[in-house]
Parts: sequence; structure tokens; C-alpha cells
Amino acid sequence: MFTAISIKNFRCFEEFLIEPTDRVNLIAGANNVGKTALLEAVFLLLGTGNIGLVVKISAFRGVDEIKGDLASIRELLWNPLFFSFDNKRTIQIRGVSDNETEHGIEIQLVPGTSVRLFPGDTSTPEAGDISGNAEPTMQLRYIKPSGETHRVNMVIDQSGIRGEPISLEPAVPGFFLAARHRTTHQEDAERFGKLDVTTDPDKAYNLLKALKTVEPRLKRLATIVSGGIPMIHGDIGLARMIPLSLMGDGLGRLTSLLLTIANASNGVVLIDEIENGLHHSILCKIWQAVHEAAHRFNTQVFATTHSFECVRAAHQAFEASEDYDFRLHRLDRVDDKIRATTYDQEALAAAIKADMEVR
Amino acid sequence: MPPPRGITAAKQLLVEGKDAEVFLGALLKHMELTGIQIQNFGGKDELRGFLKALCVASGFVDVISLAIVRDAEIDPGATFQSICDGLRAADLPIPERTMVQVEGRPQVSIMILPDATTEGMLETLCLRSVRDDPAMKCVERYFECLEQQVGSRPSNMDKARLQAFLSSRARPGLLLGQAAHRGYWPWGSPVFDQVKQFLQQI
Repeated sequence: MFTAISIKNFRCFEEFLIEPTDRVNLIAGANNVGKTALLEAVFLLLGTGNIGLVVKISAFRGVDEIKGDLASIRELLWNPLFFSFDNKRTIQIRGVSDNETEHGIEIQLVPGTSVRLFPGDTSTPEAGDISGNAEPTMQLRYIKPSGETHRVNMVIDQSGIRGEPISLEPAVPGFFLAARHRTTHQEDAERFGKLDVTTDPDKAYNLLKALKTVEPRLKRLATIVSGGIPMIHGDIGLARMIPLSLMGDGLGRLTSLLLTIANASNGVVLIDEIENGLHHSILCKIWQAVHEAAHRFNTQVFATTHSFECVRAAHQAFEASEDYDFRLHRLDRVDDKIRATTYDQEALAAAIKADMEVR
Repeated sequence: MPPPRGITAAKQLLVEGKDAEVFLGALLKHMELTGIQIQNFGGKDELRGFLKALCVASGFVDVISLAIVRDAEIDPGATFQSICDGLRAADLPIPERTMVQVEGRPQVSIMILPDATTEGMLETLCLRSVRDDPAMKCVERYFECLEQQVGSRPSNMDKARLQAFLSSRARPGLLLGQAAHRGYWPWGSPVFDQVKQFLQQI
């Protein structure tokens, strides 16, 4: 579990530190202050050198299609990663874990190791200048807790986008639930299946019990293939089971959240705009369920929100539990730098009671 | 639900309870002092948490002056220490005594009511200001009569006296703070000199 994360030169963060982080972390702040970028930084760090995550985080931001000449593709994928779009900087993201080990990643553009001789964008074999056409490469360096490093290059050339050599296996699982993307029925069904299939009592999870806090009529869950698509269905006492997705956005969203947390045991789940699709009246129950699942599977959660009700509900849910392992982190721009202010239980309780702005 | 409060002024005056909030708001208005945001931190046990929350509130970095007003109750010395404990927990500067600002960012000052050496509260200070009002003779006779008839007096005599005094005004039934806006407390009384001096130095 991370206890601190530092970021340099990534997106809007020139130099940034967030600490202490706890099991469940809620990130608040005004629009465009870096909430999503913070999640992206943690996601890249969890990847331990998986340079393909660079493409993924662009997709989360709506860059679904990548077309055009090579320079445009690099401009679209690479430059937005750097603070002030300055691709001469080196991105550094470091995390300190609760066992006090530190690991990190560095990303920079380096001169390419190959030169495209022909055909070229601007030069021809007859051109009289001596300059070459070296293709830049994005290099990701993963620094392990031992200090060893592993380098991966992202190459964008005529044959496409690839990372070489292949990335290391991530040390812990990590999932990013983006605001504009919902998990598919198939993803939810697969994750449900992984929980259902285990005979290890330590890995068993009573999803039904957790969902009943939001939909008390639920009696049973099952995965049923409908139209070729596996979907989790629920029995709410009707003549037939119905897909959870038809029982309201709140239940569907909670199901996705809990299954993701359960499948990220000993890892990290990143959730952008956690309150989306959730009515304020069930937020406290949602947080209770998230807390229980995070504890059960030793999963760390980082979520963002715009909602004061979400903050208050989270605080109430954790106050009612045995362990208040929750922190609110508010991001602010101060003198053009982004700074995180962390609330402990006492400060947050007082702020909510006094009706102070905490977002 | 009204939107949450933010820090709206570089000078913060933290007070104990709604009455104090309204009373001091009226006095600031009378003195034509602006640029001071009054925040009600609730009861005495809530000051510590409130200070912690205030220090992490957005905009706190711009606060240049922080003034805290609390009732002395039965031990003004213990009250002062309790406030200092709250400041310490929030990692804020701690003044050596009341009425004196300690340098820092923000500057911090503490005022205890009715003063640093006497037990009591805001009501005590207000009653001192109307001590010579003819109605106070009636107020005292009322409680003497009450004791004779009922055999006891209220547990908090200052609060009781104040309510009895306010019931003698043209518009009865007002709370302490509301009475301040109505002009029922004589702002020109020397009893309020220390409070005015404290507010001016924020």
C-alpha cells in the first residue's frame, strides 16, 4: 500500500507530493486541478514499465482513435504527458510503500536508435544537408525497490506503436475505472466468475450481501449468457432473474466497483468521479461496501470526486466502522503550483460539522 | 442545503456560539471595521477540531490574523490553556497571554470574556454594561422574590439576569446577539473598551 506519492513534470504537476495516503483516499478539488492526472500517475507507476499504459490513459481522456503522420501521433500521445508540454523534461513518479520501500518510473524522450533513410517526410536522398532523420523514442525506466532498473522504449513508426523490450509483470494488480468509461458486462461477469470459482475461503467474497445494502430484494446472483454476452443477473423475487444493469445505475456501478476491488487483492484501484450515477441517499452505503471490500482484499483505493455529499458520506461511513483508514486530499493551485492538503479524521469531522468547504 | 463556507477574509475572528457571532458582528458594524470574517466554532470542546479544519481549508494560506474569543466559565486560566492546546494541535502560533498578538503567519490573539481573571461569560460583560440601568433593580428584586417564593435561583444567574433584563426592553424576547443589533447594549460604555481594542488589533 502506498503511503506517499511524488510526481514531477507529469501533466499539470511540476513538483507534487501527496502524503500520508491511507487505504481509501478521496481526492477533491476544483476542475482542472489535476485530480484525474494524479490517478493517471499512480496508474503508470503501478504498471512497472508497461509503456502501453500511456496509450490507455490517452484513451481514458477520449483519444480513442490515433491517426495521421508519425509526428502528429507522437504529438498526440507524448507531449501532453509532460508538464507544460515540454518534452525535454523527465517525468518522475515515485511511490513509498507501507514497508518503506520505494519504487518509481521515469519517462523521457530520447534520441532514436534508428534513422529512417527513405522515404522521409521532408528530405529526399538528393537533399544536400547533412542532418539525419532520427526518430525520437519514448523511454520508460522502472526503478525497482532494490534500485535495479528496467528500460522499455515506446517506438512509433510506420509499423505502428510498440514497446520494446517487453514490460515486466506488475508487482501488484492495478485497475483504473475512468469517468467516461464503464466496465462492460463481460468484464464484470469475468471478475464475478473469478470470485465464484475459488474454493479458497480466504478469497471468497459475499457480493450478494454487499449489494443487498442497496437493493434489499436481491436473493441470488448468477451469470447468464444473454445474446452471447455474459451478464450478472439478480433474483429480486420476480418470475425471472434480470440483469443487474437493469436494476438502476447505482447497483450496476456498485457491482463494478466491488468486483474491481475484489479482483485487485493487495493492489490498487483508481476510480475517477466515484459519485457518477449514484444518488446521494445511497452514498454512505456505497462507501461502507467499498470499505469492507478494500479491507477484505487488502486493496488500496484512490477515488476522485466533485461532490460534498460524497465526501460527507465517506466520512460518515468510515466513522461508523472500527477502522478510520480514510483520508480526504484536496488539491489546490497555490502560486501556480498544485498542492495537496490532507484531512485527518478530526479535521474532516470539524470541517463538515462547521460546513466548511472541503472540495 | 446551503453551500459550504469558505475563507472569505484574511482576518478571522473565531467565536463560541451563535450569540457571540451575532453580538460581535453587531459591534464590528458599529465600529465600522471591515475585512474580518466571523466564524462560529460551536462549543468549547469543538475549538480544537475547528482549528485543525481551518488550517487545511482552502485559502487559509492567505489568512494574516486569527483572533479567538471564548467564555471564561469558572476558570479563565484553564480556558486560556485549553485554547492554547487547540492552537498547538493545529500547529499555530501561541500567544503568551490574552489580548496580546503573537507574531506568525497568521498572527494569533485570544480574548476571554468577561476578562482574563474573572469567571463568567459574554452575558456577564453585557450585564456589566447595563449595571446602572434602572431596570436592573427590578431584575434583582425579581430574583429575590423568586427565591422567596420558589426556594431557589436558576443555576446560571448571568444568563437568567440577562434574559430578565431583555424582557424589560421595548421589544422583549430577543436573544443577546439580536439585542446587540437592536442597540440594547450601550457600545459607548467603558465596559466594552477592551473588546473594542481587541477587535481593532485583529
